[in-house]
Amino acid sequence: MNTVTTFVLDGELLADGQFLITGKDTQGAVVDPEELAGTLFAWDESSYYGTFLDKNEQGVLLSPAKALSFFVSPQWLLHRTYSSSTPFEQFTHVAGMIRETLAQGSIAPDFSSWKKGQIGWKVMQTPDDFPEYGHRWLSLVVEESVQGTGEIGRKWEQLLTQYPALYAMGAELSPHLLEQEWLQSIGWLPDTTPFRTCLQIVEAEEHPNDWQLQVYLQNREEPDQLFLIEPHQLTAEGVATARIPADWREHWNRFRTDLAKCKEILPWQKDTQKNQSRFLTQLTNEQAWIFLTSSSLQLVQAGIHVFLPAWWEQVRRVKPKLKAKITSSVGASRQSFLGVSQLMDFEWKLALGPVELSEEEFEELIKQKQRLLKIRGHWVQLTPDLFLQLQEALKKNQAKNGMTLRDVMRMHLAPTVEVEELPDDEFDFDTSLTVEVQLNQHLQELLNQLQETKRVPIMEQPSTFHGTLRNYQLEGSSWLFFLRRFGLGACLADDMGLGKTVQFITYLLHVKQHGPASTPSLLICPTSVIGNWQKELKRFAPSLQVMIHYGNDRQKKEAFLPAIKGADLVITSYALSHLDEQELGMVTWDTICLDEAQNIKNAYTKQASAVRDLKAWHRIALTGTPIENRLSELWSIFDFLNPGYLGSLGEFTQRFVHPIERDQDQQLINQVQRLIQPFLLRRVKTDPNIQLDLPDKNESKEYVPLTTEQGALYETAIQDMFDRMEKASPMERRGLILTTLTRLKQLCDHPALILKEISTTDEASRSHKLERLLELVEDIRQKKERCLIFTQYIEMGNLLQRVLTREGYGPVYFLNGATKKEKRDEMITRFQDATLPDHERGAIFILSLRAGGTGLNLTEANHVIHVDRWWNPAVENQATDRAHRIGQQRNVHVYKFISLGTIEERIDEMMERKLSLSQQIVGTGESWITELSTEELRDLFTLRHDWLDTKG
Amino acid sequence: MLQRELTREQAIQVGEQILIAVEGHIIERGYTYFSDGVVFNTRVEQGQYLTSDVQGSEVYHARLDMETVQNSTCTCPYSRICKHIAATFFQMYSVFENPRTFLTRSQQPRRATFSPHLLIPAYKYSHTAPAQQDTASVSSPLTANSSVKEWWAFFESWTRNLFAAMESYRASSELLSSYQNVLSVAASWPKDRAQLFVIHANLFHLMKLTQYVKTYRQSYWFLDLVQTAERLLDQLEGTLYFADIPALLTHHQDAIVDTLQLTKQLKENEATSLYWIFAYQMLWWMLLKKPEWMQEEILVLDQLINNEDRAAAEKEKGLLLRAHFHVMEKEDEAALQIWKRMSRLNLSFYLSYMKSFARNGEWQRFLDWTASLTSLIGQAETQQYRLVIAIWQEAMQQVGRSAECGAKLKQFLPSSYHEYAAYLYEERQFQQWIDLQMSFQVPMADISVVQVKEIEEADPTLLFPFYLREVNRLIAERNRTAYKEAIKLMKKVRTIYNRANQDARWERYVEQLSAKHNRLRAFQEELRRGNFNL
Repeated sequence: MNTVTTFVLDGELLADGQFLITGKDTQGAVVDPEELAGTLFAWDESSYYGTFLDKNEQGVLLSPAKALSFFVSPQWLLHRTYSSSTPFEQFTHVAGMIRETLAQGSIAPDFSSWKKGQIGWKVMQTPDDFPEYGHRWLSLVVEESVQGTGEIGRKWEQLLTQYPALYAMGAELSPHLLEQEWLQSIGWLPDTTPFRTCLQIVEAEEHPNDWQLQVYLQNREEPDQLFLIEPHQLTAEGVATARIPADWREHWNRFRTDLAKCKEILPWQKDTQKNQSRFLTQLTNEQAWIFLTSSSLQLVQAGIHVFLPAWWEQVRRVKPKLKAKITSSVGASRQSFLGVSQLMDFEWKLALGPVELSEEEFEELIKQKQRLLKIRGHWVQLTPDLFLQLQEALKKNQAKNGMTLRDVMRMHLAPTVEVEELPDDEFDFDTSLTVEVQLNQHLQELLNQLQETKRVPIMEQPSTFHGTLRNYQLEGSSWLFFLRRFGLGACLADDMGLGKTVQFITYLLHVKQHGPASTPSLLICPTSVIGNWQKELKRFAPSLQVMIHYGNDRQKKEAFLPAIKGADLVITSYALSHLDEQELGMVTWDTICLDEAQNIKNAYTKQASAVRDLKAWHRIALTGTPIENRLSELWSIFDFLNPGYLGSLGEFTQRFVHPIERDQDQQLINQVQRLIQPFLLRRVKTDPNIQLDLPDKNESKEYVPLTTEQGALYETAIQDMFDRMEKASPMERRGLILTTLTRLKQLCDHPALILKEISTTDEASRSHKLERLLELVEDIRQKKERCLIFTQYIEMGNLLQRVLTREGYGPVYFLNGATKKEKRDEMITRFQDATLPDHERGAIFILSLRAGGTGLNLTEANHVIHVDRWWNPAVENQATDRAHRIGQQRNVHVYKFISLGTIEERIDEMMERKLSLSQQIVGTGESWITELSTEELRDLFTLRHDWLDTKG
Repeated sequence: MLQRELTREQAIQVGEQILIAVEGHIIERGYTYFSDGVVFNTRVEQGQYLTSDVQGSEVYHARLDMETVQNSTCTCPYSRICKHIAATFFQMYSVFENPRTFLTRSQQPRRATFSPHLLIPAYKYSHTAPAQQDTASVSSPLTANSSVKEWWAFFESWTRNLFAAMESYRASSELLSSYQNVLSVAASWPKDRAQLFVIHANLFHLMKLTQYVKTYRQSYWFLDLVQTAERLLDQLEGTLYFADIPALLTHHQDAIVDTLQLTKQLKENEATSLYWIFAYQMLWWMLLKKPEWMQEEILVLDQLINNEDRAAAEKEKGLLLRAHFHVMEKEDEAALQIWKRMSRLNLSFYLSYMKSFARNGEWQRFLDWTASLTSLIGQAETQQYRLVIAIWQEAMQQVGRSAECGAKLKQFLPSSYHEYAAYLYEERQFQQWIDLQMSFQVPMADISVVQVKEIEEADPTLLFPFYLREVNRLIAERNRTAYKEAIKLMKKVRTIYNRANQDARWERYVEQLSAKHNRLRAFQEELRRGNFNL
């Protein structure tokens, strides 16, 4: 312990102004920088005793200010011995001088530094042995404290507001400024002159070259006092006649100096001989412009006050805008099939504040070479620069063959971002030139109508339609037809059960009424609903010739065209749209309609691209849930409807999908909505405008506990998962999680599902869900009512079918992905047919969620049971809507089964929370679970014991 | 026996005196004697004295004065409280208290206390030479009238087999017993003559030892040989100190002149070994201080120094010796200037002068020397340091500057660490105290909790650098146990910041610390566990 360590200290001034302090012990070994800092700054509070000083491998790094205080008064350990190297001692010496200098305040802003564009300080009286680097050191120290947050920093801030001249540096500083004047202007030196010299420019009233430059003296103390100096008084002798306070006269020389400075700055006076020349007070238009744009600033920086016309600031700030004024008569005539690719005629206008100039006018003015012009009572500034920009923009645009309706709409609906964020887009004007679209009246009207469905002309119900359409349905079909006139694709996205089918049928009837089409229309829908379509078409529009292109006996190749001849509508499935691409591609369809359009949500599938490649005059998409899909799916649908409207998928993803999914940027969401809104019609059942008179839907959750057997299995499954997860690769981990998830949900339904057992008779006692379901079914059947049962699992469906049949509720239908179309149709027909006796008709319909979730019409049931839960409430609601839709006469009861304490309950909680969110962007599927951390998984999966059935 | 005659309180009281009056190494040796069981016949006399027979190199009779320990006596040649007295003490003390604990306590740093005994040479010359029963008495041709030359001739023949014996047995004991034995030659001589004889025997053996080391050990001094040389020098000093110098100068002029010649001849030795120089200085200082003799020698030395032809080492030796005469002529500054350049001279070189100043009451002179030799004192070995400081404190008191002592201790760091720390603490100069602890890198565990508490009460902010430095040190250890310690300490720091109303500073500290060590995962974990609301 009794070894006093002597530190041999060395210092080095680094290129960046920092100091490197190094230490060696007496043996010459380098002292660890941390220990060095702890020793040399042992009592330095600000660096937390050396803890937070910067260090490199060699030693401690000190900022100039820190170094100064260190060399002047080190806060080091006092019971150590320090010996210092020569440079170190030198630094100590210089630091002392700097400290002294600062204490005396004998420093000043360094004008030469300011001129170089940097803040710098200099010593007024340099000590003899003051080294060169001392100046820099001192300057950096002052700067550091000025930049700091401390007292000096605050004072500096105050100073800057008081003397804004301090801000001016480098090129901003007038070359005519003398150091003395500069020091006065920044308030360093007092200015004893009682007045300031001011120049005022007075605008030309009659002749453009009749601008006046007036000279004033302003009272420094009372700025309101201004004394005009007449042009003839601007001489040395002028002092005699000038009407100024008597005690100002002695400072007349100062005024003369100022005036000389002005002459130096004003370019038109430069040429004339110095001092000989008169001070010009009458300016040409060109000179006035120069004065306003550049000289005035130089004058101010040189310490001359300048009064500019009030309008100048406004003129200066005006951002020129380029306006595209649509001139073509779009919308006026009965032009049909315009399409989004329709070219628009338009003329360019240049807007300068309130003044608008056509291209020709502008060119004409430019030729006059007048930079300042008074047009229609407003001053504007025309620069050759601006003209170049304009020409550039026009050239670019003309090269792209003008603008299409698509472009116009995009610019109109989402204007700003187009220009700023899509540099590769065709509207890549010089960014300084804002481009605006000005619509003509017709186009404006069209867009208004598109944006507000109510303004679309309502067409009467076609006489060929059997039945009565509701108002909103008429609106919908009229809207489809309205868009057809302009060749704009339409997406009808009404809620389930609002009758999209009849609206499309009505549309077809309208089309047929407005002149025979050369080709039929094509309807592509999921296989499961082909029958449904067939039936509805027959029911509401028997006059339409419908051809089903489906099944093994469908007409192929050369037989195809003859087969569709005379048909009004061809119906096919999505699968065939791809398989029979060739046949379907032979025709330019009148209209292509996609039912359940979310089938093409994945833009990259062959199916989707095949569908998009089909040719048609008009395109329609029907979907109950467009927003359920992710944005890229939205893109897929809209790219089908109006190709190119949302840009390429890459652009769209970059501009919208990523930012929205990342930040939930509401503005971007709004923008997407604005963009798609003209082509999207969506009404919801709760919309007050739609008097649906749908009966109520009562939802209730049926919470059931697990049996002890289920509980044990559940825990085993989880334990197993976590055990195996430790060794699993990320890929395996995902798989493992999904498998476990399925297992858990299945065993919540019934343990037999995962144990793969042969059926027994005591099934109901092993699952409270099953027990509860049987009770419910018994109630329902006693009231002679019918029910739908949805499950995700085929095995569960089979089990239910078996048990319910055994309990005497047969026939029990089970529709799943494997069910043949004929079988489906038959089941649905029977179930819906009220004329059949119960034992033929069936009262219980089990559906797999995936196969039976959409498109079916099962209004004969007024009870819907969800045996297990899906992550997305929209999917469940869709399934529920099989029963809760037009045609339903009674209140619909919905029962959602939830196993207490399990993952199902957790799913339910999550859905409750996400319900609102899912109306905007909906996370689907289960894959997100696989990305959870093990801790989160544990939380999600673990069985909460308080709910476990204890009866045994 | 002792148990009945004495009380525990008495024993403890004596112990306290021992701690003050007796040097640490003497207590240690006394303990060794005691634990070796060589203390016999311990008994109380007149209720005040404790006597016993101690078997050392021979049997000594120690007599411990329990009322004033300083007045204790022993028949051994040691002039101060000796190990035999200490052994006697332990014999008694062990009856009441644990002697081991006492020993440990004596080994703790203690403040040196001055007593005049400190200044007296450790060995005294007793004319009644010990009866050498077990060794045959030396037969020699010498009588009280023999000349110095005859002495030296006898020494030579007496020790003709000495080197061989030193080579075969323990060199140091052979040499010492040769020296001890030869002293018996003069046992029956008149006292003055005998003293002079002892001086020459001592000198002879010292030279013999030097020669032996040079010839047989390639000039390398083993520790036991160093101790032997020092012991010889101690005895030489004691003999000269207790000798009747004026009588010698008056009645034995021939012998003194011979001694002068011999002393002068010592110069011929090489300066690699300093022992002959000590002897040379001692003889001049105490015996040969006749001005004309000195002038003569100074002249010789000056010639040596100024002779261009002499080797640098020779001139250096000349300077070294010349400086001694500066001191004798009270030109201290000139001497110190020469000596301080010679880095091999340690404190013991100066010590004999300084003791001598103290003996003569030249306090200011003593203080001047300490002021000049601070760093040597600060680095001296403990025993010497304690001696110097004890005298220094006395000197300060003598010149009326006692009050400055505490602060002045700083100049004698690091040796003065304990005393200085104690001083700072007593004076409540806590910042200095902490600085001292940090400068000496005293591990936190070694610092008394009580002291830290007291500082915390006085001014807790003083502890920031101390704690933060420890936190840094712990983090630098890069292991989890240390991190945990660091977090624990940080909690303490937080409390202090809080008490000092500097919560904002604390927060900045934790934030910056976390940022600084953001790569240390384990530390970050501990930080989080520390609940510092990061």
